[in-house]
Amino acid sequence: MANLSATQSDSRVVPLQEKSRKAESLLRLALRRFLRHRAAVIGSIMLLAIVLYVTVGTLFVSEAVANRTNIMGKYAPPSVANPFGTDEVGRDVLARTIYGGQISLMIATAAMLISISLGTLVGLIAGYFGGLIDAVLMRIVEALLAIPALVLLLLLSRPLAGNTTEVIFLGRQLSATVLVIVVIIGLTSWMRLARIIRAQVLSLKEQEFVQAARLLGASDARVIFGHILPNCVAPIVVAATLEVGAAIITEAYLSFLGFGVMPPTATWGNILTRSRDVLNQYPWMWIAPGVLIVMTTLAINFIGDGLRDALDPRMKNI
Amino acid sequence: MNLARIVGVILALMLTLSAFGIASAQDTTIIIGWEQEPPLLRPRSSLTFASLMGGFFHRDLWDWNGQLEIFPVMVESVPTFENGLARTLANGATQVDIVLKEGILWSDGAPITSADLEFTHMIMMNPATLTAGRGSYPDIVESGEVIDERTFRLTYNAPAPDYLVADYLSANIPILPAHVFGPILEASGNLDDAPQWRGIDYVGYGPYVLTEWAVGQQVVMDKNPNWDGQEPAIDRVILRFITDTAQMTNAFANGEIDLAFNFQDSLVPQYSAVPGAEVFQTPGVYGDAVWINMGNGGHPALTDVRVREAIAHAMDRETMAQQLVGPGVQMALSWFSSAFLPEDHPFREYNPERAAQLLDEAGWIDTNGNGIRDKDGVEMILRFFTTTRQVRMDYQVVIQEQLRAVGIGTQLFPVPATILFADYLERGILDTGDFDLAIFALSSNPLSPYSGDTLEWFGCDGIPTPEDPAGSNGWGFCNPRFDELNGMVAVEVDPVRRLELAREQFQLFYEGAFWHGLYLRPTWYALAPGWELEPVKGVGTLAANWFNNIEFWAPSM
Amino acid sequence: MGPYLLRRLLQAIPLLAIIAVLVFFLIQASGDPLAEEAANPRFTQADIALMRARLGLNEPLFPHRFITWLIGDDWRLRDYTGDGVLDGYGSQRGILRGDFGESYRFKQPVGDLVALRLPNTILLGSSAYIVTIVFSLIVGIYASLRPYTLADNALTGFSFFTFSMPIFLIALLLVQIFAVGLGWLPVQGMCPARGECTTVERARHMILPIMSLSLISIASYSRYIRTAMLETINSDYVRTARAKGLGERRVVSLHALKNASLPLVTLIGLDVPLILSGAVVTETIFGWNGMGKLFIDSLTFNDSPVIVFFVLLVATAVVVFQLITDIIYGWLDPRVRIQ
Repeated sequence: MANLSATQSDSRVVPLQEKSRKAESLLRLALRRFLRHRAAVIGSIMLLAIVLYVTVGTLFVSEAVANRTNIMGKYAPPSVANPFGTDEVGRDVLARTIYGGQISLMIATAAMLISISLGTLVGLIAGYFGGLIDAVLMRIVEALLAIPALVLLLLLSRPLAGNTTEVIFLGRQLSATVLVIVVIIGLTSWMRLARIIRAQVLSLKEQEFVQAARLLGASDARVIFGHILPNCVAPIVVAATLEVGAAIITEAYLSFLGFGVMPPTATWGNILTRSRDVLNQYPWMWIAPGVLIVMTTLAINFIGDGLRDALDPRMKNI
Repeated sequence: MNLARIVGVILALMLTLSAFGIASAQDTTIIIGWEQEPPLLRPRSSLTFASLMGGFFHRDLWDWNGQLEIFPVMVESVPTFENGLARTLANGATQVDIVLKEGILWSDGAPITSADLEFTHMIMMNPATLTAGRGSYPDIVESGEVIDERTFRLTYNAPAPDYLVADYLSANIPILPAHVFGPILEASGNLDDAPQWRGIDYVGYGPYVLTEWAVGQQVVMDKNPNWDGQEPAIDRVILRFITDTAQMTNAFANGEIDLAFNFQDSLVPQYSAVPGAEVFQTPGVYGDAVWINMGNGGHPALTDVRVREAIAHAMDRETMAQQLVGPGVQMALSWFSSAFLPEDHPFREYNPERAAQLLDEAGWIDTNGNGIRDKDGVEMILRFFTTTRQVRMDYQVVIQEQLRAVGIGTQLFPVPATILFADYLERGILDTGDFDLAIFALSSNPLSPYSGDTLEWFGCDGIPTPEDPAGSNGWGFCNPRFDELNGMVAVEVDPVRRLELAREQFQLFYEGAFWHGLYLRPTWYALAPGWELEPVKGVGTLAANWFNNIEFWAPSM
Repeated sequence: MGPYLLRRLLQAIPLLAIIAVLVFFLIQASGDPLAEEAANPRFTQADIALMRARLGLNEPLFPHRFITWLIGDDWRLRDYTGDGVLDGYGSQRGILRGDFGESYRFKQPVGDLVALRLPNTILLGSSAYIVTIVFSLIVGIYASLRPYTLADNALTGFSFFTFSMPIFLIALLLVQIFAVGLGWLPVQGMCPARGECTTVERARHMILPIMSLSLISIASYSRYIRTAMLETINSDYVRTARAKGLGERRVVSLHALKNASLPLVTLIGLDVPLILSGAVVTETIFGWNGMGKLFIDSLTFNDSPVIVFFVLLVATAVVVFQLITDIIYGWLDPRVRIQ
C-alpha cells in the first residue's frame, strides 16, 4: 500500500517513506501486542482450523455428496461412512457442514464488507462535510439505531423473502436468499461504525496535517482517503472482525425464525435450525453445526478482542 | 464476595420453587397442546379454529362419523327425500325442512328455536353482516321461512344435490343464537366487532362452554350444563397454545400437555421417543401434490402431456411417502375426494425408464451432454416451489434428485405461504403462473363428488388474467368438457347418474397429468402415558372435525 | 436546559417520521395479509374481495393507502364492498391524528393489543435485566480485582462462550437440562395450565427465560465493567485513596465503582428501552405472551398496523431514554456540561 502511493507523487516520497517506516514499526508493535494476547492467538488458530475444514474438506468430499439424499438411511447415527451421521433425508452431515460452512463464512464476510464500507463512508462524509449532510445522515443513523436490530432485520427480510432467482457463485447454484441475507445483514449493522468514524473524523479534521493538506489545495477526496481514512484503520479493523462473528450468529437467528437461507443451500444456521425438533433424539444433527458456529464466533471474538488491545488500547467497546 | 455461595443459593431456591410445582390434582382435566391460537373466535376464519369451535362449543345440524355416515345432531332427523323432509319442487328446485330437536337449549339456557335458524340464514345471505366464508350458499338459496317454533324451510333456486353436505345452513358458520347477536346486529349493522368473538359471554351449543380465554396462553372449557347430548367424561378441557414445535414436544415429554395433535410428520419420532406415549394417525383428506404449470406461462416443455406424465413416472412417490411422512400413510390419487373415486382409479407408477422414453418421444434430449435435456436450445430446468413446511422441503430435495436422474433440472424455492398463495393482484406466485412445479395441498369437499369452487381452480375461466384477475387456476388446466361436466354434476339429483358424470370428470382431471398426488396428509396424535382414549381414533376423517366426538372420549387413567 | 430539551425533542420528530414511513412501506410491500384466506376454499373470490375492500386493500398503495394511513379516510367516500361503487365515508383518522388503526387479524385497536402484552414483556425483560446487571457487577468486579488470574480467565472465557452462542440453542438446551431432563422447571408458558397462578408459580415459569436472556448479556456487561474497573483502579485517585489507608472494600465500593458506573449509565440508557420490544426469540420459544411474540406473529401475517405501532413505540422509548441518559450523565459528571 505504502509503495503504491509513493509512486504516485514524487514530491512526497521522502515524508511518506518516513511515515511508512513509522507505520511499519507501529504494525510490528501491534503484532507483538496481539501475539501476547493469549486468547487472540488461540482464536486465530481456531479460525484457521475452521477455514481449513471448509476449504481443504472439499478435496475429500464433493458437493454432490453433500446434496445426495438417501431416504432409506435417514437419521443414521455417526459411523465410518458418515462421521457426523445423516439428516432427515439421509444426507451426510459432515459434508453439509463443510459446504454449509463455506456459505456461512461467505455470508458473514460479504455482509461485513457491506457493513464496513457503508459505515466508513457515511462516517467519513458526515464527519468531514458536517452541516446539513451531517445532520441528515446522523438522523438516518439514529432512526435505524432506534429500531431493535433483530426487528430491523426481520422487517427488511420480509419484502425480500419471495425472491425467486438463483445465483451462481464459484460454480455453485445457490438460493438467492443467500444474497438477500448478505444484503440485509450488511444494511442493518453499519450504524455504530458510522458514528465511531464520524467522531474520529471530527477530531482528525482539526489536526495539523489535515489542515495543512487542505491549505495546500488537496481535493476533498484526497484529504478523506489519503489522510483521514488511514488514521481510522484501527476501529475499522476491529469492527470488521467483530462484525463477521455477529453476522454468523445473525444468520443462525434468521434461520431459526424462518427468514434465513432457504434449502437446498445449506448453512450452519439452517442445519442447526433443522435439528431443533430432534434435539435430544438425534444429537448429531445439532452438535456439529452448533459447535462450528460457537467455535467460529468465539474465535472471531477472541481475535477482535486481541486486535482491539493491539491496535488501540484506548478503545474499550464498540 | 463468594461466587460459589451465590450459585448455591440460586440452586437451593430453584429446588424449593420446584417442590411447589409437584403437587397436582387428580381430576379429569385434559390439556391439549394447540399450535396456533386463533386471533378471534369468529366462525371458520381459519382451519385450526374451525376444528376448535366445531368440536367443543358448537355442533352442526347434522354430522358424519368416521365411516362417512350421516347422523342427526340438532335436528330430529336428517332431512331426506325418503322421509319427506326434502322434496323437489315443480321447477326442479330443492326444498328442505329443518326440524329442530325438541327442548334443546343454548349454553345460557335460552331455547333454540327456528328464529335462530332464520337469523343464521339472514347472516348467510348478506355478506355485509359478518366476515366469513359463505361458499355458494348465497348464490343457490332462494329463500328461508319459519314454519313453526321448531321448523325452518329452506328453498333453493335450482336442484341442490349437496343440500346435506355443502350447501346447508350450518356448513360455513355455526347456527348463531339470535337473542345474543340480534341486538348487536341492530346496533352496529355488522357482527364483526361483537365481543363474543373475543370469548366474552360466548354462547353456543356443544358439550363444553368457554370458561376462560387467557390470550396467548390457553383456553379453558368446562362442561355445558345445558347440553342434552352424551355427558362428557372429561370435566375440563384446556387448550394450551404452544407455537414452537420443538417446545410442544418438550412440553409433552415433561407432562405439561396430555395430547398433542396435528403436528408435522417430521416430529413423529420425537413424540414416539417419550416413554409410554402412544402415537397414532388418522388418515387425512388433504392431498399434498406436485402441481405442474401446464398452460399459464410455465416452462415450454410442460405444455406437452408426455413431459408431465414423465415427471410422474420419475418420482418414487410410494417410497417417499413411507420414508418422509410415515409408515402406513395413504397415497393421494386425485384432488377429488377419495371416497368417490372408482376402485381402479389409475396411478402413474415409479418407472424412470418409462419417464426417459416419454421425454425422448417428446423431443427433449440431452444434446449438449450436460446431463440436462434440452430442445431447440432451451434447457429443461424447472422452477420448483413449495411452502416452508418441513416435509414439503424434504420432498423437494428428494424429487430434485429423482428428476435429475432422468435429465430434468430443477431450481428449488421454498417460500412463505403468504407469497405462494397471494392473489393475482398481489403478485402471488401461483396465480401469476410464475412457476413450473409446486408442492402444496388444496382441499376439496370430502363428502361430495362435487366442490363448489372446482371451476375457480380448474375451469377455463379460472385462469387469472390482467383483465379478469379473479380465479385461481394458476396452472392453466383448461378442458371445456371438464367444465361442462362440472355444471351437470352440480345439479344432478340422482346419485348414481351423478357419480357417473363425476367419474368422467375425475378421468379428465387425471389425463390432464398436471396434478401428481404425493400423500394424504394424516393427522397425527400423541397421547401421554396413562391416558386411554379409544373413540378418538375412529374419527378424524374430516379435517375440520377433530374433536367432534369429544364427549365420547373415555379417559382411563 | 429548557431550550436544549426542546431542541432535542424537536429533533426526534423527523427521526420518528423517517422510521414510520420506512416501516409502513416495508411492511406493505411484504405480502398479502389475506393470503391465508385466499388459499382457503371456504372463502369465495367475492368473500376475499369484500374482506380486501373492508381493510382498504383494494386501493392502490400509493397514494391512497398511504394518505389514509397518514390522515385517515373519514373525509372521503370509500368503496367498502369491493364492487367499485362508493359506499360512504371511511372511519380511520390516520396516525397524524393519533389513530394507529385496527389490527387486520385481531380486529382490535393496536393500542389494546399492546396494552395486554406490554406488562408481560416488561415483567420478563426488566427481571432479566436486573439479573444481568447484578450478576455482571459481581462477575465484573470479581474479575477486575484479580486480573489475569485463573478465575478471571475462566470467567472471561465462559462469558465469551455464552456470548458466542445463538440464544435459541441456549434456551433449548436449558429446557432439555432443567425441564425435560431434571424436571425441576416448566418447559413453557407463563403459568401452569391448572390451578392458581401464584407468584411462586409465575416465578418458576420465569426462571428459564431469564436464564436464557441474561446468560448472553452478562457476558458483554461483565466484560465492560471489568475494563472500566481496571481503568479506575489504576488511576491516580484510587491509588491516593489506597495510600490514605482506606480498606480495599471501601476503595472498591466508594471510589472505583462510582467512577466506573458512569459509562455503565450510558449503556443502560441505550439498552433499557429495547426491553419494550420484547425478546422475539425467547418469547416465542417459551410461549411468553409479550411484545416480541406479537411482533413476529404480526410480521408473519403482514399485520401492518400492529407493526408500525410497535416500531414507533420502541423508537420513541429509545429517543426518550437517550434524553434521560444525557440528563443523568450531566448530573453525575459535572464535567459534561449540557449546552
